[in-house]
Amino acid sequence: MKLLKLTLRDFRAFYGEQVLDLSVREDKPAVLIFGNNGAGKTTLLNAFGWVLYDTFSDDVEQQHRLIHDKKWEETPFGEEATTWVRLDFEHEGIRFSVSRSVTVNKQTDEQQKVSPSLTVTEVGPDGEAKSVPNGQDRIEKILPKGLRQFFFFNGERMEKMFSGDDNNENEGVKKAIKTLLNLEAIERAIDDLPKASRQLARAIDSKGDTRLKQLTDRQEELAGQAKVEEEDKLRHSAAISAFQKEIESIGRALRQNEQAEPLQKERERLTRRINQEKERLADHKSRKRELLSKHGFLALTGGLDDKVVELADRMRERRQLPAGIQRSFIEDILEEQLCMCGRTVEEGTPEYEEITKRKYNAGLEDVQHRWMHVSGEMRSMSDKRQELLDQFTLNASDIQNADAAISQLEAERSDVDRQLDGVNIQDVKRLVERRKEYGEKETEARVAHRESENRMALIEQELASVARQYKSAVAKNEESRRIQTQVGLVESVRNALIEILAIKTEEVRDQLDKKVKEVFSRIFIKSYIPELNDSFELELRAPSGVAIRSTGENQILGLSFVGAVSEVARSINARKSHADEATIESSGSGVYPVVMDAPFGSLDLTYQEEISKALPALTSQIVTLLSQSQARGHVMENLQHAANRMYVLRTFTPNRAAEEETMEINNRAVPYVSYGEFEHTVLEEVTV
Amino acid sequence: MATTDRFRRPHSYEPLLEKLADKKTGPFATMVEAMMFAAVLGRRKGERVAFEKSDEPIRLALMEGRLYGDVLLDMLAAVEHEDDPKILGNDRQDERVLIFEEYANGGLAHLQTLISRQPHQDLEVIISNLVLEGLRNSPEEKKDDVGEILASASLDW
Repeated sequence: MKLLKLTLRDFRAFYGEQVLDLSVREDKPAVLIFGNNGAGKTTLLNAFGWVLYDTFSDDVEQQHRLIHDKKWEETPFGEEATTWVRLDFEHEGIRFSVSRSVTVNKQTDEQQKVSPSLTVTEVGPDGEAKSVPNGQDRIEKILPKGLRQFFFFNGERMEKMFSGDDNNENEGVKKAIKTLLNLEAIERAIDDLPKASRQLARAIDSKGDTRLKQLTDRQEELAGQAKVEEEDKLRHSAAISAFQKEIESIGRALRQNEQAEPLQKERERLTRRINQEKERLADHKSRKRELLSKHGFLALTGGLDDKVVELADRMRERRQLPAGIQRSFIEDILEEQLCMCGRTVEEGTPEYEEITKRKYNAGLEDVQHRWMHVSGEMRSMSDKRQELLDQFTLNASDIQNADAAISQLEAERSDVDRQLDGVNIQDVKRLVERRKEYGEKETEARVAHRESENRMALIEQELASVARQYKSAVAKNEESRRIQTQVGLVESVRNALIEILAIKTEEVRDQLDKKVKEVFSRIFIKSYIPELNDSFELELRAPSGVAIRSTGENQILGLSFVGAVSEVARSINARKSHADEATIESSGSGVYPVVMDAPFGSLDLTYQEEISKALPALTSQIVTLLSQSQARGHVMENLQHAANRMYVLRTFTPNRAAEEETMEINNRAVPYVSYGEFEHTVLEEVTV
Repeated sequence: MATTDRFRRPHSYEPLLEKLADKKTGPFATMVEAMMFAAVLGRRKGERVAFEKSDEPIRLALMEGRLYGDVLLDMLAAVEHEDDPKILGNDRQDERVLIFEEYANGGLAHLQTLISRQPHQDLEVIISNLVLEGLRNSPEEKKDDVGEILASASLDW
């Protein structure tokens, strides 16, 4: 496959029609495309994937927005907007023109996802163009979709090439390699031949040769059973892996939930303690209320008590409180003007006055009593106030402590809640049950699979035995004998093909393995050796065993593999066409092009230089997309030597705040960011 | 001797009294206690205010059963008439009750002012602030809030 031309029409970042001439010469196999970040390098890379397979890599955002924004904006409602990508290439002497397009009748401002349509045209050596009816299949035959990741790739994502978690992905690669290397045809033949022999055998007339007919019938019957059994087996193994996946995912969920279980317990404990503390707080608060209510007024009695005591004392001093003297007793003295001691107390004398004064108070027992009581009570009041203050202070600190404890516990609980977020405890039970259920189902499926295998073995045994009987059976007539021989022949052809496939597969594996080793050692310094195992999986061996691959190593491994596949494919094609008996060992480049974005990914400068040297020799055609920072020093030099053409993705932006920029190519300043009326990208060829 | 065994509660502060003695949110368990507090507060703030209209009077016996409840009336009366010891005489009960009632009325007025000055504050907080203030400061150091504000503002009329 040789790429000739890529044409883009209003495709994503590219406005109007942009043409990329991809033709190269044997000594100059590279096309270099420089572009700023966001200029459309990834879009350009993905244009290849889109036009050939209708796919985008995962890192393409807004995959439905295929039509250039400006173009879309210009399209009036109710009218159609179109975008297309066309790739012209040559394969085995035939020119192909593949074009994929999307036409949308604009109804809303937003672009909707639309299925594109594909046209594949074939131009024969005679120059006659004809449309290829089943275009996608034709493309797949030329370059299987399973391999596209090796031929159109982003260097920064190279490590993903081999790190597929899914085994199916490796199956896909294996299958794609087989397709590419034409081993598929042999596989198909092996599957189809038994049908052919049965077809032949049916020609034997049951009346003519009962014995042979019986054996044929038995064979057909067994083949039918084998087919059913095979389907069963496949079904069971699919079920097994589905159950396993389910169990694994349950396990993951459970591990999460099991971690949650102690958290849940902790949460319950915290909740219990919070409630305890809240009860305590409520107790303290009600105690405070009680203190306030019952004794609050005491707080305001300061001074009153002293005053009362002072008054009482003063009165006693002034003898205003003559305790225990009866009023009538004094009244008698004053009446008789005679004291009990015998002295006269005449009116107008100081003695009379003194006794009269006493008369005012004397005998007011109630008053006296009250004063005694009140002043007595007052004497303890200040102690009571102190006590109240102490209780208040204690109560306040109790409340504060309880409050602090509650907020601490609540903080702990909300922390636990955060950890518990998204975990449903109810799920745990259900998950455990489901795990058990699926475990049982898996066991059942395994048993069924085993039984199926056993039955299959029996069927195959019997098939072999019937085949032997068929071969040795004495045919009744000439016709039967002829058919008997033919069936025998078909059988031996099939056996031969099985052997051939095994040998071929091993051969291809071996070739690829050798080639990967060779390319890899050209680039890589360490003593690691790559190895393609029987399942076509690529491993990297260190002296101590399987090496753990770094991103950079994966990248180099990927490049080596791409180069190897391309070369092996070329040698096989060459042998097939008998045109060129080139072997794999002969130097030279493969038959498939490589289009890559950021081929150096995040590699060290040393590796970048090594790769830039090795790259041109990797395959017959290399299209490389580079940012300015990736085209430094010797890298640029090495690549430029191999470059047949160079392009710049020139970005136009209406943003006046952006700097207009240029990059230096061949000692010339080439603009790659310029002001324009709207955002778009233009492909500009730069003189090599 | 027309003595009374009940004291009046001022009608104008009935809603306040109800709030103070609210079963759920009031700082006082009973109206008697609220009135006792108000009376001492009134005395401390020197706000004795006469009133006419009253609601159903409360039995004095309710007060007498409490700590210092029996001497509260006497205490207030004694300091109110410091030169008249007979104010504690049996025959002057009515007068003592009146002193209590009028100080309680003044206290309630003061509380009402405090509440309207800080409308978002809990009643309980207001009361406990008063209590703590009372416990920590002796009345001699008591300051006249309004006077202080006026003084600090250095208002020059």
